Amino acid sequence: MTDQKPNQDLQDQAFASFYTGKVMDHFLHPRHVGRLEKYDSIGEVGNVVCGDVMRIYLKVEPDHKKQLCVADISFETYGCGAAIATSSITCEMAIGKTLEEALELEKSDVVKGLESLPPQKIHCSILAIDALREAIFVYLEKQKLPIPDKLAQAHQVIEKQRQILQKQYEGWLK
Amino acid sequence: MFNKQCYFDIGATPLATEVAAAMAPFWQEQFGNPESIHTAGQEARVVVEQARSQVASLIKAKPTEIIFTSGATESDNLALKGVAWQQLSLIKQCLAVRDGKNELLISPIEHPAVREAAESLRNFGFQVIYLQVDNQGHLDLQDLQNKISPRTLLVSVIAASNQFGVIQDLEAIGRICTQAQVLFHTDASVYFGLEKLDVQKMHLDLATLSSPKIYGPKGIAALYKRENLKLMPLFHGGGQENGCRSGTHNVPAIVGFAAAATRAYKLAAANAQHYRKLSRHFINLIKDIPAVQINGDQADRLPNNLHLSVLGVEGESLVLALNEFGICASSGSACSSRKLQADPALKALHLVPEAVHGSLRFFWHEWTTLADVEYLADKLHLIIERLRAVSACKIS
Repeated sequence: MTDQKPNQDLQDQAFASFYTGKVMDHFLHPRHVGRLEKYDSIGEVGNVVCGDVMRIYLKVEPDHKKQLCVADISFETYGCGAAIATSSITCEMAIGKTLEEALELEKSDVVKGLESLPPQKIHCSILAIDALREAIFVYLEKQKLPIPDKLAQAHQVIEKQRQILQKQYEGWLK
Repeated sequence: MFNKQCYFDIGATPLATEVAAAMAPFWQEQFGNPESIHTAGQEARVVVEQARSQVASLIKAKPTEIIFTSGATESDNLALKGVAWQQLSLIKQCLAVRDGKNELLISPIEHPAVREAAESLRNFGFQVIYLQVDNQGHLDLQDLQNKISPRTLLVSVIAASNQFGVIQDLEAIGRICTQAQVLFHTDASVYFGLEKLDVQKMHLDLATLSSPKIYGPKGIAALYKRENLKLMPLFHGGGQENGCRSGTHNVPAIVGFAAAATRAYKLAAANAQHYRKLSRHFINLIKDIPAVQINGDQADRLPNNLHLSVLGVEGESLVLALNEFGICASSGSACSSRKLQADPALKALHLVPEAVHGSLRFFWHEWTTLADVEYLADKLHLIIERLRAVSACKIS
């Protein structure tokens, strides 16, 4: 958001800060922002009714070993500082990985990558991983490729959640 | 490590110079306990009573009707629970007409200190009934009339919203309550000192007055309680404050509170003019930003408050981004709160989810200049543009 990095001296002085330096870095200078010009699938989770919406764009290509890989990835996120930071680092971690490797990424990897998150923000790391997995699910489904059971189950859960949130959104407006 | 010129929050305020000066003698020199009969104590008692008279006269109350507390939260809790538990204790003793008065009518835009205190009383068999406000933030008086019943014990309506600044018609509410013989409490935490509070005209039985919002010390506040109204105290003990609030008096803070309140009243008119100028200038500077709405009645409001909704962007991320420019503000979005719940006051204002989660609140201060709001407006343009570029919720 700013043109220069947060003052490093201040960070070193155990500066009173709600988020770690790593989180702030990804928030202020997010990587992989926006919509890919060419994408193969979109994974979206969350709903504006709860103040969190994450969307991941995925471009998949086979590598020299013919394994499907995350050739390119980007995100759009409506959410707090942690939501933007977790989206950014998730994209950073996923790019270049095979789909199989990308599916192995867990929220703990996201949190570790950001050093730490305040306890009430851990759910942002879960959302980011969910969005990535949704994008992969949608790709495999579109391409009529086999979908791992765990991924299919995770998708079901997300679908249910999507319906619940949509109802909440409609209920709010009444 | 933040720039005071960019402090647009009301969570706390610095001591005004004359307030600090008023408090100074009472930390180390005149440190007596007002309850003691010796000279040290009696000297402290005199200043506490002077402070009490000062605060009372500002709101047209009697000195005996002012209870000093440790904060507005305590005042709110004492008001709600004091009235409710007193009612309960009477039921237990089977005294007089126990008319089953177990209903608390609360506005939907209360500070958590009132809302949560009321909700906690459900455990004791009290009903909490929420009133309604319109989309400008005004209490629906017809709805209040409809909801008042022989079972109503207390009505509590915040004098001015700490979120979006709208001021209620306290006189009208007071008239309705008096006619229905129902107790009337108002949380005047951000109202007192900026606007005139007349407990007689407004038919108030209870009113919460706060110190830290008006350049007074933290850890001190007051509850105005109409004489002859019996409250069950929150704190039992040495019987201070006429039995209503036991505990050693925080003399320096009490002196500081009264000094801050007196000072605030003196400066209120000039400050209001200053604040209105700042708000007009700021609104003019941001009117070109698309999909930004200003919330709450623009006429009946605290002049130093400004509440926005920025569509397509989330509130906590706005506050965080503003902080990078040294700007201190706050939001009512779910993700800005520890419990991840949006401030119910914003939903009560009939705001859609996007507007609630994109909320941004500013409070101007006495030292805020036109240049400061220009800086804020400038950075807001930048931040909103960049966060909208990242957002999954694009505005049409």
